[in-house]
Amino acid sequence: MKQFFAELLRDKTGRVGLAGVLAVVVVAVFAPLIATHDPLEMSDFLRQAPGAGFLLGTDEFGRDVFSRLVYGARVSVYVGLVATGIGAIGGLALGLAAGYYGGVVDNVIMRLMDVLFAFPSILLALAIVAVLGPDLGNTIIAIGIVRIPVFTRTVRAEVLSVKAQEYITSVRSIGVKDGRVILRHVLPNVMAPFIVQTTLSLSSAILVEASLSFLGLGIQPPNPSWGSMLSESRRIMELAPWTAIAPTVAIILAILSFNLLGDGVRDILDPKLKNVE
Amino acid sequence: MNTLLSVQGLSIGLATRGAKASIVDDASFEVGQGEVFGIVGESGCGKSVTAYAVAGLLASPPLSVESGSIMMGGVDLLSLPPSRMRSVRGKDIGMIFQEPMTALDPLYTIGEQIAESLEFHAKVGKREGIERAVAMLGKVGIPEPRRIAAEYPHRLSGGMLQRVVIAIAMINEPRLLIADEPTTALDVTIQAQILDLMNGLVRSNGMSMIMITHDLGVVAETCDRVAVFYGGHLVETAPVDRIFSDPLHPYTEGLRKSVASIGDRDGKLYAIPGSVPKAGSFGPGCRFQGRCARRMERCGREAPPVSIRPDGRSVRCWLYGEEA
Amino acid sequence: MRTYILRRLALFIPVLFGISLAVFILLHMIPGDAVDLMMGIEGNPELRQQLLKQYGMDYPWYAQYWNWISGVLRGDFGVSMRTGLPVLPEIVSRFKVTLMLTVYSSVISWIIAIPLGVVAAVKRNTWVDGGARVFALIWVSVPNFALGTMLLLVLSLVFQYYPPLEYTPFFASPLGNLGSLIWPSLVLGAIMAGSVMRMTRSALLENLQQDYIRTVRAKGATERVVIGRHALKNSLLPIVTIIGMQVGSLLGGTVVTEQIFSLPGLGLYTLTGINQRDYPVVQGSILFFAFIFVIINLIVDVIYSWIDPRISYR
Repeated sequence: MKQFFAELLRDKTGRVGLAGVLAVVVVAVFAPLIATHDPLEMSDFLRQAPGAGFLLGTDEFGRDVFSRLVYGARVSVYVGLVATGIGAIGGLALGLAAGYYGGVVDNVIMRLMDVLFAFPSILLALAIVAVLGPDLGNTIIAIGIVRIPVFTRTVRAEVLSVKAQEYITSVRSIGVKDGRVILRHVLPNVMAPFIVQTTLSLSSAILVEASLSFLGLGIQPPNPSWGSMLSESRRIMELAPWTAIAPTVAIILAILSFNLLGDGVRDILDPKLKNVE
Repeated sequence: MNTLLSVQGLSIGLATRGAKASIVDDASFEVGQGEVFGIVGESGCGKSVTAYAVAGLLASPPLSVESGSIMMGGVDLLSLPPSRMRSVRGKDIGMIFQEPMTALDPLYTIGEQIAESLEFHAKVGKREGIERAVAMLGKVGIPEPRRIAAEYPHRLSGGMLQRVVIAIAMINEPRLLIADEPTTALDVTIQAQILDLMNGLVRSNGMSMIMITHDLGVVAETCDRVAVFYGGHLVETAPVDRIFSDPLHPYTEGLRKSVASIGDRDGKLYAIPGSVPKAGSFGPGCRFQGRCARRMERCGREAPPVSIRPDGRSVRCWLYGEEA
Repeated sequence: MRTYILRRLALFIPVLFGISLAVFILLHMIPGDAVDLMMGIEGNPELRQQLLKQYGMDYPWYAQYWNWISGVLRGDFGVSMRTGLPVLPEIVSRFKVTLMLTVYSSVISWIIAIPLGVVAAVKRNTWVDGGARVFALIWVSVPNFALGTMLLLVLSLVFQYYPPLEYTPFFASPLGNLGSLIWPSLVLGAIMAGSVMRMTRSALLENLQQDYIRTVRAKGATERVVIGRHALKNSLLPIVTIIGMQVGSLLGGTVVTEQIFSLPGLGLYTLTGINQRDYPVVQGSILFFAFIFVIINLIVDVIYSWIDPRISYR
């Protein structure tokens, strides 16, 4: 673990990514301390340009853009982590089962994944949110479900290659129970690509969340999220460009940081993937 | 015998992080017209790198020629601009590689890949190129050459593919053929066939060949003269029969002894003690001193110079240094 | 080859069937149906019953599914509950917009990404390569709606230009069609370019280290031939793979882009359908999306076998 972080810090990509991710997380966690205003409070200053009173100006309702941005980080980080968690755990379980048991189990799971995979991810998330109703929790569930197939495929492929190795055959041949074989022998070998996939998934989850809130699904007004801030700004962005630029920059920097961290982690844990997209 | 290729004082360096390691140091040798010249040594001794330098195919960076000259037909190949060197490569110098299975582009047919070699050096139409490729496939002993010319590499065995690689190297009738461990990756039964084929083609066309190998058996079977490399130094050159009957350098002697002959039923296999030091980690003095049975005090202080013996052989060892 | 394609298509039938069922069940789980939405707050039970009957929604769900899917098999996707228009012709006409958008943006991305990837690989570890890589890294992190919004902002603020609100079909005026699609295509194309460029670079670098490249060089080939004829062709497999994936996700990504640029495409149609609980519209267009997705996968596989003689399908 210690060595992992040392390597991550030695890598320029990983270092920048880690710094960016930490920054976003810190902002999210300490949002009440960092924000200069109440993000929901409508002041009398409408579409105020950035300046001393309002660091990044105000939006059409006179709300402080900077403070909304700060609270928006909470949504991104929260959705990113929880949705990836759902996708990762769901995919891990399904991938282990499909890869380890093979046969019918494998077929049923993988066909199901094919079905899920056949949807463009935003459309799928959209449909799920439409079914469950637009709110933060449902957005998270939708994004989580959308991520499941990726994890299932990664884990299954790894399980298959581990299973083909002789030591697993020999462990099974001496009568060790399935659950124990999976837990003690298969799982540890699957961990590296799994962690890589998890890190890389964080940025996708944040991206889908921003897209959904941009489309008006996801977290509901007046609560701030970067996607909905950008969407709302479109009505007034010629008069108040800062309302569009601020959330755009925040989204790009956050996703970039998570991507860089993902690349860094991949280079360390899965060197054979290096250079391969 | 006329000299075709003359390599003088060739040094090749490897750029690693910040530092530069010497891979080949001050190597000189000549290859005569119609001569088969062997280069032997353990892996990492610099033998392949030397040959690639001759063909202008060093992976640069990190490898680069530091000094020396490579004269062929009165021209220093090292001084040629890349475009001129390209017209020498494939035309005057043909190359055969170690791994036939990966030496061909999987996406083109055998015929196309042979014809491509023609295309770069002469105005040859597509149809004529394929015709000549088919003829060449026949010459390298491939049955049904027309059918094989239309096949893709993945459908052929390693032995067949090596014949194809030979066809590619020979189709322009180069004056010099460089073969880099051409039989190492092949089955033992195929090895002899391929060596015979190469030998026959080279001899009948009056070509010269540089045969790079770690296998003294291959040397005995094909070569006229041999250069022995150790740790980036060319330690000895001699006619092939003398290498076996009367080796000068202690390393050559060790090599000869380590070849098991069918006669020694009783004895254990001989091995030179120790292992090759890593390139760039050589201290002062002779590079073989750590493993040498005849080490002298001087060997640790100064690197021995190359001395030319009265019979024309050269050796890099203090045992002979004074006499020269 | 033909039998292979037919077999693949046959294998897709259960997948498409599964999708249709999944979509159907999913939609019927939505709290509040289209009828509720139509009637607004004040409920009139009689009117409600009448409407339910009119849309065939008074049957149990499996009967409704059967009605729908048997219609689909006959090429009848039903009528929109909102507009009363048949769904399939609408899907087809809107898909043309989405398809043109996909084609334009794919072409734009290839024009940017492949040459850039080749240059980055050839000039490896120089400032050109470094610049291209940083560019690609940032680019893959930009969401298309953010880029689209910024583009509109710059166009209006700096150039006082507003993209046409009216969509011009290709056959009405090819140039007008390009005019109405150029900005959204630029956005999507630029976004795609990032990962295509990264893949081109890494695949090319990997192939340039292969043994067969040395053989080609030993024949006396120019770098142009080494790269163009051999290394790049061998790199096409992974590049085609990522392009296939991209085109697939592009179809989904058009939802957002069509929304920003108010294009009458299939994505926007689906989004509106979802918001209005217009079952036939949503079911139909998602099934159609899935079908297109499946076709793209098939095309990618066919291209594989076309490029690489080692891959043969029987």
